[in-house]
Amino acid sequence: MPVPPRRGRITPEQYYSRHSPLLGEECLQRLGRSALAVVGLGGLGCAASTSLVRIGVGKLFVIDSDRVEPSNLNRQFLYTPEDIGRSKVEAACEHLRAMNPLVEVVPWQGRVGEQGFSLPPGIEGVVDCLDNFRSRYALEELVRQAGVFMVHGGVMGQFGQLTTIIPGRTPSLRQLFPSMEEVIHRHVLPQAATIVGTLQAWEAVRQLCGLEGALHGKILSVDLLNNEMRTISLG
Amino acid sequence: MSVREVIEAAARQLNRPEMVSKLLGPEAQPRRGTIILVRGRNILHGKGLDEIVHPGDEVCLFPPAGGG
Repeated sequence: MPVPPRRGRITPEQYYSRHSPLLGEECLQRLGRSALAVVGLGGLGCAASTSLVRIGVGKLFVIDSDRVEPSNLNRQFLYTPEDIGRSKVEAACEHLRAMNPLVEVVPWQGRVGEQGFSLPPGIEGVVDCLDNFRSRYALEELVRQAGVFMVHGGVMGQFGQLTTIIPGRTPSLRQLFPSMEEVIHRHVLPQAATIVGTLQAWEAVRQLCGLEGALHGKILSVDLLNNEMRTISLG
Repeated sequence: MSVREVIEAAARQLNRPEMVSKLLGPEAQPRRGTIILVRGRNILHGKGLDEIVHPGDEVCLFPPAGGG
């Protein structure tokens, strides 16, 4: 009978054993050397960061400037009522580190678009989990300057979409969704945020490992009202 | 056939006349909060609702989900 591992002493082979055969050793090693940033720790960011930490990225920067509020708790599953009032970055780091001590989780305070904000050094990609297009446009500009990929995700009601932006190679967010600065969506089905955020994490893994099916020049539209997912090719 | 005409025809076929006022603005542009792609391109970068749709073209309408 196998001996259960002692608490806190988990090896990568144990932690990743259920998905490592699916990804392959090369991809797993690649993930272990990777550095990503999740920008925005709301519903999308909680799902994306959880999924990236559990699949075994090497280093994950988590970025937000807000504090946990009661209205976050329906979908932002990294937080509990005990976290209300805490910095999201601080609370998320604590929970993510406890989830998988094999991953380096790094807090990065700041608000995208504010003067002085910069992306963390050494990252290969960004997962856009922001909650408004004004900030996304600013993030896209930083991504363009850094020359890294960005996995965009957004949710509204029962709907969501994601796509991967590669500066100079794919249509930009501004081209796809122009003049959206004033559009704010406050109502989100928790499951929509969880599904889209998790798909964003999987898309980031595809980018890092060069897996087929990546959303370059494509949007994946998620419709939970009618239980449909559709990929749209972009011109 | 223009995008406007495609949407008007779809509203008639689906018996959803409210689609027209919800999606189409008074000018040649869709209402704010509606994304319309023809051949994978946002019509705002072309002729707006006057963009011509050819047989076999895909017209996609969806809400630009901006929340997180």
